[in-house]
Amino acid sequence: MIHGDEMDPQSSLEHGESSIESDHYYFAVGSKSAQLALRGDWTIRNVGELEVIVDKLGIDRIPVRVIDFQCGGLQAFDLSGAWLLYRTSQRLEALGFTTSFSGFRAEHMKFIDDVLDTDELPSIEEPVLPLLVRLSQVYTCNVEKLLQELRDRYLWFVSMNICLLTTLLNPRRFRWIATARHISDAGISAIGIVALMAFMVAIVLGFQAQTQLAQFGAQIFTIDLVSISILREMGGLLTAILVAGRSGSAFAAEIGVMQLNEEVSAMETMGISPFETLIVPRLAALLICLPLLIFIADAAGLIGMLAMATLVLDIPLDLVLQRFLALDPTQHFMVGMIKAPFFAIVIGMIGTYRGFYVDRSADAVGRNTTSAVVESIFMVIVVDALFSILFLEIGL
Amino acid sequence: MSRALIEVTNLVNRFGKQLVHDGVNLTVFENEILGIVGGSGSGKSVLLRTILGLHKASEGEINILGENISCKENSGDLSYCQHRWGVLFQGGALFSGLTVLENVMAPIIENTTISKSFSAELACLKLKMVGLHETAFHNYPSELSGGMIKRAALARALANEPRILFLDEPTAGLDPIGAAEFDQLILYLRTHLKLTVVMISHDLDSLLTICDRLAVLVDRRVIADNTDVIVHHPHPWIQEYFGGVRGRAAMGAN
Repeated sequence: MIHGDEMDPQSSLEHGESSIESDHYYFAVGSKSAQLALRGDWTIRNVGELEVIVDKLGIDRIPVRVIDFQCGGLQAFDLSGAWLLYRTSQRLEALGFTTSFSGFRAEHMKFIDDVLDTDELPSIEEPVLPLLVRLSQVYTCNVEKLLQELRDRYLWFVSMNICLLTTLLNPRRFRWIATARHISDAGISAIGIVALMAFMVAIVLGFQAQTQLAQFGAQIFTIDLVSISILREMGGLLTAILVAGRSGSAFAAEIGVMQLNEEVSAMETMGISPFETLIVPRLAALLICLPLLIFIADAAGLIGMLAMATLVLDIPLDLVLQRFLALDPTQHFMVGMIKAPFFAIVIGMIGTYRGFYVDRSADAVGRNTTSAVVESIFMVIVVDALFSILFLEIGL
Repeated sequence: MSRALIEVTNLVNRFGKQLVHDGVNLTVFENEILGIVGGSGSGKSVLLRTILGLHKASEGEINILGENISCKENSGDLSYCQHRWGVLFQGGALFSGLTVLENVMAPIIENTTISKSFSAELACLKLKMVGLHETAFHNYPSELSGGMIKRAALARALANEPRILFLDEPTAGLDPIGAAEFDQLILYLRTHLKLTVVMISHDLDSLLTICDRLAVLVDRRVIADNTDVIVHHPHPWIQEYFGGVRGRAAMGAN
């Protein structure tokens, strides 16, 4: 498209030729002055290529210090093209050239002069501070942020629980319909996946246990191992992780978008407490659903254990049941179940907190949703570990 | 009379049983400022979206910058137009993950081969042109005021050196001083950049001050004429619009 590209214009000038030309310019160097006559289109469509070509011309190396830009031959010309010329002339003048424009459509140049009250554009690079200063800034900034966030979270936790208690004591203020919707979203629609997951985890556990225990001829203990781990740990933990992934993210995203939309602010100005309308129903729904889901997971896991023991290990059903009942399964079940409300509060708190404290941008919602899931899964595991230590200490 | 850049012929838009446009005809001439006026729900935004190719018309044809967009599937390649028009959305629609400068650079970098540093200079020039102060160049849209968002979005709309500029409620949400400045900015840009401007507005002051012609959407059709002719049009809705308290005040002022 641009022929000037094909030969190196600078070398041809240095070889004593006095002019070069292409579709877009005619460049001639005389004894007193040089002329750059512009031709064709100088617009945003080709200014990228023209920039390279103008650089290659090597105008700054010609022997004369006077240059005239002749613009009469231009066809299409826009602000981008004008800016390229303006910039070139500014640079040449800084090198001691005298530049002039002729044959012009001068309006664009005048326009640029109008727009720029100073000769220079503002620096587009952000100022770069020394590495040490930057590091210390990042560090102090992060520490401040962290402290702030810890305080926010503490306040959040307290006010959320107070609000939950006051609405529970004053049931007329409790949002039944919203709660029902969240029970349906966070609980009922999770039943299938929770049951399937627990069933499969029980079978996987069973296979792993049975290959190891078979070495000691103690395959019958597979029943004990699978039942106890499902009832005490796996049922609750896996369900909580699944609910954290499903509902924690949903809470953060829903409330985050409402926050972006200023719906939360609108509620506050109307005297409607966002805690009461948005958080208590979600928290209540989790408090109701999570124990029920864990119960379903336990049941499905035990069915998986039964299927595994009778079909794979060929242990008669009555022997399996006898073995299972001898374990005192109620106690193990209660140990697993007592953790459910704590899991629910952790998931609900982190999900809603992440939704409320969202910056006003689209990627902030995504970021906060991600951290809602990661944090709540992490905290669920921490809570579970704390309970394990506690039960070990009190000998349950 | 100058050249027609946009010609809308017999445009029909239907949503289910609801008929929004029933034979809309509209011509936009080169280098004019055309204001589109109409009651809420009269289909101004649908008309704009149809012209921009964001909405497929039920019937009718649109000729824009020599490209023909009809209601048929796969008709007309819009990419030619998309590089030659600029759109200012009502809320600005700045990309929230990019700074102001990056927002203006985005269309330049995506559509041309211009180097990054040169496109940053062009973006700075555009931002200066719309009167945005350079302290705001590295801010994210969420850190800007409403007026600054409008200006930054206008700079982005101008980034590709458009021939046609579409403005959706450019002065909505601005204070009267800011709105008057914005009006003058549009006039200034029209003169210097040879722009053709199509704007939807409810701001009577800005319509009467800067529009050469007005297109009024009434009864699912368009009545378009020079501004001073339209304000005396006998149609009852137009009379009410310009003859009401606010209309008279704005006309008295102009």
